[in-house]
Amino acid sequence: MSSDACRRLLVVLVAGALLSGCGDMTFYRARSDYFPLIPGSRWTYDVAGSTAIDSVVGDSAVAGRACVVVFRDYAPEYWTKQTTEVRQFTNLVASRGGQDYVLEERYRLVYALPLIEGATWSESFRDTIVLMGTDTVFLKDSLRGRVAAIEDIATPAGTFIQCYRVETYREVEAAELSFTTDYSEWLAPGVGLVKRVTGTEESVLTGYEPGR
Amino acid sequence: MLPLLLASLLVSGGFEAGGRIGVVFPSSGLENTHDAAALFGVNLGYEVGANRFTFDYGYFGLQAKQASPYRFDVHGLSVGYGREFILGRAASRPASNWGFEASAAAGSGLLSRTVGAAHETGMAPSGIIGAGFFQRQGHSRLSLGLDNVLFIESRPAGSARTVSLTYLIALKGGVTYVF
Repeated sequence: MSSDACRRLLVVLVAGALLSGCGDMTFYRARSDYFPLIPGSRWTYDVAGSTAIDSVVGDSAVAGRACVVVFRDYAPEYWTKQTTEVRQFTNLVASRGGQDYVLEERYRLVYALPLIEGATWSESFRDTIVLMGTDTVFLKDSLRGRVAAIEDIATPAGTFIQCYRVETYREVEAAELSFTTDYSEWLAPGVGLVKRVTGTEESVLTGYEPGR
Repeated sequence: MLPLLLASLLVSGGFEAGGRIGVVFPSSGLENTHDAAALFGVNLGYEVGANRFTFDYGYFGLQAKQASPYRFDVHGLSVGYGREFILGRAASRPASNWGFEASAAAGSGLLSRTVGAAHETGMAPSGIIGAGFFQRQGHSRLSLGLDNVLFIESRPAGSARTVSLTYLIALKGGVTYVF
């Protein structure tokens, strides 16, 4: 290539480099994993002054489906992740007359992927279970999720940019096991959950060790 | 001096217009969740001897690897420079030749990610290094090549700065009319 051609090539490349301060991280978000389930990963949270530890243990199979085992504060949880969704195994058990009855046993939707600001998703599960032959329980487990914003979050573990704030509302109607919960979560690219606010309780990331 | 130079370029050179189709292969982690996509583009150019100056528009829409309403549309505008290296000339047709071309371009991508009614939009500057073969005959110019596309994004993250580089490979074939 002649020196003239080299000079022109250089001008084009420098122009490109000068423009490089303008991106708004759309590609970065598109290629980032906001819910990494890599074995060996470990998250430490400050939950209202006490420490909670989450860790990814490895693969398993529960209810006939391959899943990833996550210890959330030493209690096992079972998760599945695909390109379009993240699901968590749910097992609701009621006791009657000293015997346990399974009300719900399935992988329920937690996040619809990919996360995009403004995206919403919902799932509702209904069932009727007869306990001890006479006691009928109507079960309803519904969840609504919404990606409310893209925010930068400062935590004791560092500042995380381009986090998605996900607002979730879950309502379970199942006799004495009924509850509702409403929480906001901040998911950081390549890290996962960095902050969670449920009512007045706040949980923030204080340490993160990625798995391999 | 500059007007004279420009005038001499306009007299000795020629305009061209063309289009191209191809395939874009995502990389840099994007390939985990996105499939390869078809590429469409048009370009206007001006050539002086073996040198080509181009203004280019290209579009591709990446989709999720699983059935999903998700789309990632990329509209790219760029200005570039290409240099032709003639390797062969048909003896019977003096206006016919073929060879190798190297090119570089800088531009910007207008980005849009959508799923259902939700969408995010953005911009990212890009740099493109290309290489390929061309064949000229009369007013037509056929080309087949590969573009290395690098989208560059950066943003402050606390006291540091996060720089994100996303690399895509595009295989393209094009036809251009040289006026």
